[in-house]
Amino acid sequence: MVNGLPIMTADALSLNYFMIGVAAILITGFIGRALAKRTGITHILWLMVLGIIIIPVFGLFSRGTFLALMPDVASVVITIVLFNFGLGLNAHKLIKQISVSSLLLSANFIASVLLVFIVTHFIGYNYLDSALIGFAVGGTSAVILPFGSISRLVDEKTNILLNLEAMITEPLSVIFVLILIVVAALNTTNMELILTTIVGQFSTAIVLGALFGFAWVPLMAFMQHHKYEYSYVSSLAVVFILYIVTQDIGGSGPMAALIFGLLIANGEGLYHLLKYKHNKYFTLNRESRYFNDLISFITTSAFFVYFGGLVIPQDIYSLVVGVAIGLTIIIARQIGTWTSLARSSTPKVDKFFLSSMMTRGTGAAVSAALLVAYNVFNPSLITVFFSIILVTVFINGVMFARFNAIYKRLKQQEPPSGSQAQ
Amino acid sequence: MVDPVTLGFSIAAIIIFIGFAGDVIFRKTGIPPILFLLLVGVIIGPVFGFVPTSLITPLLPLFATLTLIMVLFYGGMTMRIRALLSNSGRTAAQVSIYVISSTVIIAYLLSYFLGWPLIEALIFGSIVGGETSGAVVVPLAMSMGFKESPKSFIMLESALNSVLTAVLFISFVTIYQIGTGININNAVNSLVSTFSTGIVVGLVVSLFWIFILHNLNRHRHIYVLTLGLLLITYSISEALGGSGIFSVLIFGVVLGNFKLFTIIFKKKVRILGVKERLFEFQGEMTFLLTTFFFVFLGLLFNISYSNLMYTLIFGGLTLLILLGARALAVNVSTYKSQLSKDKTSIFLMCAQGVTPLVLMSLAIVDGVQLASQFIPLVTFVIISTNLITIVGAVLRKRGIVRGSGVSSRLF
Repeated sequence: MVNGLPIMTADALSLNYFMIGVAAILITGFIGRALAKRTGITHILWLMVLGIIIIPVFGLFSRGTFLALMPDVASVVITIVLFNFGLGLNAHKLIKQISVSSLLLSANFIASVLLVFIVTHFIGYNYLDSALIGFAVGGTSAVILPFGSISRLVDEKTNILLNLEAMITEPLSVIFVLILIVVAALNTTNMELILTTIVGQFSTAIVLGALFGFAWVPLMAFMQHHKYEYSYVSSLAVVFILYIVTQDIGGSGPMAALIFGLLIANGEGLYHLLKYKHNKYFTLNRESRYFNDLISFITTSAFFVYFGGLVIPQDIYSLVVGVAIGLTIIIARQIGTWTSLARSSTPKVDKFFLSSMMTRGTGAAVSAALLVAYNVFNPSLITVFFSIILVTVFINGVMFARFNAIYKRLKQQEPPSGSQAQ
Repeated sequence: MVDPVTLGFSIAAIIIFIGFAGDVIFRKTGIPPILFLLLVGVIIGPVFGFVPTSLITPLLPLFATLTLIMVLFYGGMTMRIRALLSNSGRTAAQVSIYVISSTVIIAYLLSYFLGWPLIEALIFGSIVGGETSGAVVVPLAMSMGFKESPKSFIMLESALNSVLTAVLFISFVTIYQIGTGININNAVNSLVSTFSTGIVVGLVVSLFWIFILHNLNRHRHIYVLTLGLLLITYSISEALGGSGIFSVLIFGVVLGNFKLFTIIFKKKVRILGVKERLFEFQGEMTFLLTTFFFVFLGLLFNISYSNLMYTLIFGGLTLLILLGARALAVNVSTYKSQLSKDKTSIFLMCAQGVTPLVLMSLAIVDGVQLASQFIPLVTFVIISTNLITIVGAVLRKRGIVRGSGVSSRLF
């Protein structure tokens, strides 16, 4: 005791920091979402800004310590994120609607990847690095989804297109990044070796993910049926075990988590197709989905604050590169949307709406973290991607506001209903 | 002096006629044509020397693999996915127990009795340990009136155990060549990667082909095109480090169950007529290839009098171990399931063929010192396991063997 106060031991200090850290994550997560609701600007951006305030601005934590955690953070986050992507993929809906949206999806994805590839190569990145950045920002983030439901101004078909795009392109971009990371890690031009390694790793992941999924779905149904509490937690445990087993066997752990999530989300349909007689519901129940949302909240809050904490606001060059890439994405979006929908019956104002939905988010940020964790890029990439996300969010917001204004004007110009009858 | 081309055509024609006659005899008596064809091989090869073995041996791995591809594709087309999936766990248990236990026990006993270094004994064990030849058991399973479940069990077993023995063989040969300890982690990684790549390649190619067939169903020569794609599937899978034969099996299964996949992908696909034509042609091709394959097996029968005792004693010992391991594996894998009704028949479907032949030739090429001593033992095991399977087929046809009765006495 000193002056009546207990002396803080090293362990007690560590515990304090840990508790402060946890509290900070939860509070900032809440604040981020509250600000998003208030302002209409996605919570991802607010969380990154809070991260910038905490570390680069106020220096409350050491950037070096944060950077050292990158490989572990990236592994955990990518596993949970891809698992969630898999859970969100409704295979039945996807297959039914894919033909409607395939042109728009592919046009936007390819245009984005290609144009970003060209611009980054022009800036000075080599072919592989340009491809990595291109794919990392190729996917449109799921944060665009509320725009469709908030506006209620667009066709149901347009909403479907938007949903599908968010459902497919973000995980797809992460998968391509994972594939190219393998290429970067091999550091060889031997095509046979590259192909064999990639196919082997991803096939192993698909098969193991499917096997675990097939085995887990009836077990999960059993637990849900007998109302064992927190059955979702055991599903999450299985995801982590699957990740470890797959990585150990030489497969891609994150890919296995995606396939596992996909199977759990579509377990009912799958077993029905195989004519497997069962009296228990084979899909995640409401309680499990609620817990899943909670885990996502904690993970994404922590991750985006962490991500923001690694941004270097003084790194003007990286910020400018990010702005350039962001603008490229905007142009690619216009090209992809207007050309693919040129002959479609989608109303012009809906086409404008779709062309404004370009925000990059979780997929891009997680891809950037992976690229830094695997030493493919140096940490300044984080600043580049922060800038990309900022630009796309900003332009998305501006164009959406413009869309609202156009729509209201069009509505005002329409003759009142019933006047033609007279 | 007969011109070799004329002689070759004459022999080929006789083989085809005997194969056809054998098939007719099988339908009347239950004796599989394998027996006659093996005898023909023995007569024209080791006995009368019409076909020197040295001419055939280099071609055998290629021919044997082609036969296996055809047989598994044909067999896969008859399998139902539900039976395949419901049996997959038990098949995995069967393969693991049979292959691993027989390999290890054979290796240890022969190392003890013959004084072989353990690593070379393990190489030999992996050559003969636990394989069942798809070229033999699949056509038999299809013609012996098995129900869906045991039929898919036998077919899947033959595809899986070939891969497992090959992986074990490669692991042991690598250890022999480099001289390091066994790396189980690498062996498991290799096995999982091989199977997974085989499954994914087979699935992707077959799904692609279903939709192509839908558009080409009125064209002629669709069968030849499918055959070409089958060989490409095998090649791509092997080139990517996967199991080519597994890919081919998956290809056949997906094509045979195309209706399920069209429901999944919500696409109307009209290929039933095409599928039936493919099935018919494939049946003919498979019959032709398996006929020649069994004759080629007979050509291998080359046990000289100088090593007769060695072959009989140690070949016999190997055979006994194989049968013991198989009995254990079948009991465990069929425990408390519908398959237990057919467990005697399953036990007797132990014929070996392609894989030991290929692995044995690889052992010679890879410079394993004792490889020449493997040859008579491997030959003996192949011939004797085929004879056991033939006897089993006859007994089943005549209703003497099914699951109960004889099986309770056997086990």
